[in-house]
Amino acid sequence: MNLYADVVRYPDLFMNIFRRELHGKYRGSILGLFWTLINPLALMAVYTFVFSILLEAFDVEHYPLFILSGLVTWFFFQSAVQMACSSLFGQPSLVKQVRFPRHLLPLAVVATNVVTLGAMLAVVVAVNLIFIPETRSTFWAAFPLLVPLVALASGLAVVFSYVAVVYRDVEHLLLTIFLPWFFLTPVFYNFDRVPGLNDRPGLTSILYWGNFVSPFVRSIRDPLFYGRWPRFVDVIYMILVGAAALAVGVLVARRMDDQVATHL
Amino acid sequence: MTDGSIVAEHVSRHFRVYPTRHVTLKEAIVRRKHLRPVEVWAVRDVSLRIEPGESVGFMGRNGSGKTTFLRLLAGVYRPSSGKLRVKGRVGALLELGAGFHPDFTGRENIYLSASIYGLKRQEVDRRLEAIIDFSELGKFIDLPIRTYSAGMYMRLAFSVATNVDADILLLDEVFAVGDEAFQRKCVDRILQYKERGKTLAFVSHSGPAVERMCDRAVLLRQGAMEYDGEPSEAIRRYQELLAGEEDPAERAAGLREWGTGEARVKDVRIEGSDGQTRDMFVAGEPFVVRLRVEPRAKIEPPRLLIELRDASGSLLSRAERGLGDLGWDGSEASVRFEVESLPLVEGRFQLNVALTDAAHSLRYHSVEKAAEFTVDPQGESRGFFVFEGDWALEREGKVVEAEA
Repeated sequence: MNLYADVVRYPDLFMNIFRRELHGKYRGSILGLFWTLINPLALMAVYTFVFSILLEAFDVEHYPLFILSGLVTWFFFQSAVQMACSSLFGQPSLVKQVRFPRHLLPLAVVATNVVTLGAMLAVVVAVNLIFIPETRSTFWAAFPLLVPLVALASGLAVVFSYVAVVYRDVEHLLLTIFLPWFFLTPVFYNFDRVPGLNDRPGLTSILYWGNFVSPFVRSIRDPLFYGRWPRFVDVIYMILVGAAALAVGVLVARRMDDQVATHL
Repeated sequence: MTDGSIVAEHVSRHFRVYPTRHVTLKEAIVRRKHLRPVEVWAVRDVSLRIEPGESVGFMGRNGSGKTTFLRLLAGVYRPSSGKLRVKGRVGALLELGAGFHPDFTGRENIYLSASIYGLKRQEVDRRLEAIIDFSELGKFIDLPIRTYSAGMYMRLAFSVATNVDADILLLDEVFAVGDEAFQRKCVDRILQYKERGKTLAFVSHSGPAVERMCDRAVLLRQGAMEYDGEPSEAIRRYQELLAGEEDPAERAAGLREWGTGEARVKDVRIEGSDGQTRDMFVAGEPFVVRLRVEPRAKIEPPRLLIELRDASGSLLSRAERGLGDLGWDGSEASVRFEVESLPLVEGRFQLNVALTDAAHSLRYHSVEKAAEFTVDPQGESRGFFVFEGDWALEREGKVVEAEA
């Protein structure tokens, strides 16, 4: 786990790389941060239009806020892992110059996405507090749940950044996987409101527990949108998944460290 | 082990080279057997000890393992077998502008780059001024480096790498950028490094650079150490290795001649007025260059160029003539170039001779340092060139006749 501790052990290096990534992402402006919020807001608008207005599929009160409260989780997860993918192979000259903790590169990408996550959450929490009074006592419970979420993203970010150096198509593969994965994750719907799952508890369990992002989306949305406390079993599951992702990250980084330098 | 020392014991490094540039996951799953990698031993069984304060040049042909060895020292790769111990902070210039962000200013990039070498923020603060000074970037330091020229970029990279208080400095030939003045500064900086008891490992194709900066040179051949010792001997052996080499770029870097080979220059000699071969002249003496042109294919009459250069290789002047004008008939011929009175005063000079086609677009053969000679001054004149004229005193527009 030393790998992740390097963030604190080399604070100056990490901050410099982080600032560099941040700069790349937001083009050095506050407006840049604003632009990254446009994407989830646009998704929210279009899903509301299609599923709620056109298809009348979901009769949920505050449906746009429902989507947004789930998108926060998904969006962070997807963009952190996707962006981290190129963090090593995009910098051959850096990696081949001198020995330094290379794994800080994907972790810095995750950190920049935490910034976006924070901004998105700020918007979502503010709006929800205004329109859904019952969230006022529970919303804070979403924040500790971000810890396993960031752990999950960090572990996978390290894994994919290392693997992508050797197998360059992994970046495109991820792009392809993320779309169906998104639809299988209960972001713009809820498993208990899907007619096809009504009397199929087996399938529901598979879809829910088999897709490790689902419990994250649900548990973070519960206090944010429904004013409900997250379920204990979900929290345990999230902690386990987060820890497992971190561990896989360590294993992969250790095994592939040398290959990374030689494949660039 | 003290900081700055390097101990390599039977260090080897191999790479798996795949037939395609990048392996894809799809290929790895779908057609496994197409991906049989070739094992390449880039460094084989190298053992050496480098003590603090030594500066060691690594020479060898392209692909001989020089750069791989430096990357091993930098810790970018690990040895496949053997033991390698590198003690102390390593500064490296192996990749141009590593870690620079084009949108960051020079100043911001200094912090970024220095932190990669392991410096803390306060440590950079303390060195910031020295780094900026040395880079000669002045007010450009606060502009984004995408606006920099290649030379400015290089200067900044060099300045950071040599200012991080590294115990060991690794240099690939990349720093041979920038104008001559800055290059001289770089060399000075490197020599200072040596004086302060720091270690330098340096990859180069250039004999003079190795001779100037290194007190020891290692010649690598196909990854193995061929020679370790005196730079002059390493350079001699390196040139021997190159002798059979056809790659023009490599020859240009390491050898004195190259060219396409349709015609060759040979037997370049300098003679005095008496027809004797000499390499010492007195200013103002007659001076004759003789050489033979040997055509090896049927070609139009080529042009012959004789360049006069000073000892450091700077061009002083050039004489040129088309052999067609001299009535060349296409067979092997002897050419004479006579200077009635040598316009040089003092110093060591060299001649480069080249044969090109009429349009100068093809270089059939080019020989650097085809001949070298020294010139001794005569009388009171000093400097490079003869600068003579008639002196007179004028009064009211009329020349005053000196009394005999």
